[in-house]
Amino acid sequence: MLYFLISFVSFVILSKSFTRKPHCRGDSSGGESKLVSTWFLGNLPSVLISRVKKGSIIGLSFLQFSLGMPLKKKSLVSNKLNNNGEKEKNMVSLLDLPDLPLEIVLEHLSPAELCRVGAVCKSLMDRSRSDYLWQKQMERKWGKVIGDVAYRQWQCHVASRTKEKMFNQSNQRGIFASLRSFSPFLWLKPRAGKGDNKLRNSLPEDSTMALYLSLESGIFWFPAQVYNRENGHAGFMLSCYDALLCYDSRTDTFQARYSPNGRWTTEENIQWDRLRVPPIDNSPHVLHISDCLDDLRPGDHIEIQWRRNKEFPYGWWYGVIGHLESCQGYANQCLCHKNDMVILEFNQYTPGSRWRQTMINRKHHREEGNEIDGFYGGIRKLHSNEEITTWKSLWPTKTVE
Amino acid sequence: MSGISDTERMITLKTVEGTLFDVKSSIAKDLKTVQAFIDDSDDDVTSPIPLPNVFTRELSRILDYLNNHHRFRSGIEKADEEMARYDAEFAKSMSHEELKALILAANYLNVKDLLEFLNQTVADVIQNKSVEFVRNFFGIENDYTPEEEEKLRNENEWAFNGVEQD
Repeated sequence: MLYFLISFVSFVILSKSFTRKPHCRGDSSGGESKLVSTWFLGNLPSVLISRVKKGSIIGLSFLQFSLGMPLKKKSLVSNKLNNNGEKEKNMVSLLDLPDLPLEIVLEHLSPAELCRVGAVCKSLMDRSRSDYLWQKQMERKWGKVIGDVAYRQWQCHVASRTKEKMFNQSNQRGIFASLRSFSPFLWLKPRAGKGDNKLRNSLPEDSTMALYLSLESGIFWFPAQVYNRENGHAGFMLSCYDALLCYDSRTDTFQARYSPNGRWTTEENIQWDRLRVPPIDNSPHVLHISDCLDDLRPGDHIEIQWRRNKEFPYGWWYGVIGHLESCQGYANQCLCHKNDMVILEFNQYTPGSRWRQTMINRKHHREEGNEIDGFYGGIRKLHSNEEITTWKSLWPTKTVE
Repeated sequence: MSGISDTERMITLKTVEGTLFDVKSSIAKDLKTVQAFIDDSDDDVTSPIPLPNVFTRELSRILDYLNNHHRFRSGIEKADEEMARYDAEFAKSMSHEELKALILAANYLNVKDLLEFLNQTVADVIQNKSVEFVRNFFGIENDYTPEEEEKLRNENEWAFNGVEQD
């Protein structure tokens, strides 16, 4: 409704400003001014509507000019000429653009540039910090490595930092804080009050931008899984273990802290391709309940949980389903999938090694094992080619004992 | 070129300076603002459509871009390379002032593809440039106090490394 009023006022101004020849004055029979007026009234709402749907208002910049001179006889056209003139003092600022083009420009910038753009002026700072933009940055760089588990860890991290900050601030205010609780002393503003203004400008702790920056700077240690931990350690070949990771932007690598196997183990210089988002959203101490047991056939690729003893966390180990001894291995004669027993093969080990093979019963498998051979836990069947090729790409160059 | 079909009419556009441009209706479709007007007038457009926010230089560039892209797309062989070369030349041929003016015109006329391309170009221009440069380019006044600016600089120090000299 408001738009209609504004457009009506602007129509009056427009029709007057376009009056060059007398017979065109607001006359319904006047060719040109009729064109302009009907175009304006007819076009503007539909343009506005279509733009509103897209989330930006194209007519707004046009309206801004009309609003700028209500009931003045200044011509719209000549005013625009001044504003668009070359090297005029009031240069056309791209901040006058509706949101859409500016958003597109910002979307194309790198994170460093987004930060710099925020230092240009205050309104750009608000824009450059929007969660939407930084979510895109997160997906671009961190999508393969940060999952739900990491986001939850981040929430905890934010909560604890907020508590810490509040605790520090209340300590600073000290006596003023306790005095303020008595109403007569409300006029006493703590000196830290100036800090409130500064806080407004600083980044909100729980924003996506804060997450991104915390990851980049290595402040935030996030949970993920690392393939072939301890880089070639024979004891961990073709396994994937949970760890807390910290990014080093100078070397573009990660440092890992593995859950204690009696002691903390760290590893450095881990490349991006050795990390993954934990596929199961559970703590590594929790047994995964296998849901694919009936579906396992020779040749299937799987991952199985394994741990040395009941105090240690599980790691995920890659294997394939093998044929039973009784089976010849011919595809059309193989009945292994009908058998209750399932052979799991870990071909990275030499034949004869005790780690090469294990057998489970698909009817009631939960966790099997002992203190010598370790414990075999839940099984995940691998469906995606991506996962399988990743495992294969990590195949050791020589077989392991 | 094939003869004009019955859907291929000519639309006349008039810029701020009064220059008239004859445009095929298939090209005019890319100027969504103009197209909306045509749709609203029930396709009965005989007189020139005035564009009070668009200057001759900008409209001529926009039409140039659209004509070329239509030509590339309708070519017998895929002309992706040629189109990329044309786009690069197109972007280079403009000063920063002209680029900004063109964005405003393209935004007003609602030319989606061109706008996307121009915005990418702007992003490329301000890549790795200093805050001052971005201010000048966008025509923005600095509304931070020196202390605030210093604080921002310190917070974002990692972002300010590797910045090109203007």
